[in-house]
Amino acid sequence: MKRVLTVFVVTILFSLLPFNIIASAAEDEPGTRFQYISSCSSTLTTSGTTATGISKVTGYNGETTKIVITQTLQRKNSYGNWVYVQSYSGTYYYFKATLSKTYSNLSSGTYRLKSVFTVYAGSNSETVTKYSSEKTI
Amino acid sequence: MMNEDNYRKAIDAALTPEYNNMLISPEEPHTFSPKFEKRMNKLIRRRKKPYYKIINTAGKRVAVIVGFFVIISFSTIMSVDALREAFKNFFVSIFEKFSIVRSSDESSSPDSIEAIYTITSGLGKYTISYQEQDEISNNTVYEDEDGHTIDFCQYVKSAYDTMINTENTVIESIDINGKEAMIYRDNHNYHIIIWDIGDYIITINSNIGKDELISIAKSVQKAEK
Repeated sequence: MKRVLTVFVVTILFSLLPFNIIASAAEDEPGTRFQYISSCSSTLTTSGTTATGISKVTGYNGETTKIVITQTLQRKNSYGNWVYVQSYSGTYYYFKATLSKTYSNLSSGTYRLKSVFTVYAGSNSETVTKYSSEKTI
Repeated sequence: MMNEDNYRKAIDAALTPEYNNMLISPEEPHTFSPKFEKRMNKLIRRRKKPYYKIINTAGKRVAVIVGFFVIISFSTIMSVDALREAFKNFFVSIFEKFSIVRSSDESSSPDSIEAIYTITSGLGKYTISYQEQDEISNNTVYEDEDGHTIDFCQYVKSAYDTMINTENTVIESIDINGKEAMIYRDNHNYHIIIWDIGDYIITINSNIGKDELISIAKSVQKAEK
């Protein structure tokens, strides 16, 4: 019984440790490499019941062949879980790209923008996810 | 009818020899199972350890493990905090392959791009290959015929929350016209300079030399209307 308790506690600690590291960032993803991405950002601005999502990514000139950005507006439900509101995608053929979308007539609540960037270098690619800070309407 | 006394005698006569046969003789040594022996030897070895008193119960062992993880966790946070202190205008969270940089001063910043900053020298051989302005940023990319790129960007401070490629690099501090700037060379041999120019965050990202890039950064000024 004691051994089971010990294993249980260790398992819980192991599972919580990454969240401690992530707590200050909330974007860290296992396997994030930044091989083909120089920088990326996910920004949500709000005004009244309208929000603007801006997803930006920069690759490397002469190496980046294609960029695909998918941005998803998420709303926090009463259970504290993030749920889908609306999503947009864009494909670009330059070493940097911006996807900017406006979301209107939003109900009151807390929102964030999830931006998923896939940057291609020929047949290779890399995908990174970045969340914006939370905004309350 | 057998009385009670005779009944006891009959039972005794019938069962005592059988019980005696079942009992192990004190002279006969007991052989413990290999599993038991192994556990006892392990316990004896453990008792000889100098730290045995710290881990001699399950509760203490759990406490040691919890303590270990608390120390590891604090080490992680402390390492981030140490770097945060190094750059007074930015919060920098460093991970193995990348870092996240945020402005630490949003109070003195406009919410949108109201004034335009530009590079004012060192662009003689460059042409503009990309220009974009939105609510939170103003971006111009310059390229020359030799494959050099200068990517200049001006951000609203409140929107500057960026993941940057800092794999196998060290972020250093330099001075750009009296402002503290971060500079690093990424794993593609691009130099990146990031600084708070007062009302906005400026970034320049380029594959030209470090000194030339610093010189260009020092030329950044607010454009006249």
